[in-house]
Amino acid sequence: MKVDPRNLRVAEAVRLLNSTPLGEVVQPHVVYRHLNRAAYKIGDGRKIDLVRYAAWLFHARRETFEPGWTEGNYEAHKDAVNARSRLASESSRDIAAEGWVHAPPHSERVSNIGRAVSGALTLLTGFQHAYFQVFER
Amino acid sequence: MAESPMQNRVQGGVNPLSLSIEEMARLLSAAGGRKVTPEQVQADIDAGAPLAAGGRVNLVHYAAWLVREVQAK
Repeated sequence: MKVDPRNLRVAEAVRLLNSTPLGEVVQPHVVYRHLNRAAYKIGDGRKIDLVRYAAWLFHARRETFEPGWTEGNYEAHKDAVNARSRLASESSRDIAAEGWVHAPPHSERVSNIGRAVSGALTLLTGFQHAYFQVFER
Repeated sequence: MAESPMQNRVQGGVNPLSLSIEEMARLLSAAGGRKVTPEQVQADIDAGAPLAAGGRVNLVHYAAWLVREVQAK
């Protein structure tokens, strides 16, 4: 199968980069992340130009994150932030856990249903009344 | 015999699978829009970037090394 190094799908780029004597050096999710970070500098947004990708990697290797940070740190930081957000979301969903929200007693539930049915019947009757009034004219 | 796409010559008739250090610097400068010097490429080679026989650099091997280095950084 022919591959064009200037127009590679992510899977093709991964296969090509992992096919060197260096062995497996990259996973698809890393290339996707690079594709998003580099935006259109390394391709058209979907396909990758290996020459431009190499140039981007060349500079990315030299550019540093904040002092003491690495790409691995960034991933760990992102995971930690996600975990915190998930925890906050779950805790806010758990407002009834302390027992201060109770199901209404059975008799109240029944009367609620009764009120709902009665309201619906009233609406229906009103609608029928208006309908016949229109046709009686 | 026709060249396969991987052997296509790019950027002024160079073979990306076998570039001199100067050619690699020129190619990366043109592709990245930022100046890359042969000294910088040489520094990568000194740091372990793969070098083929005859002191030539294979773009695919170099990119594979770079992607590994970026993740390990």
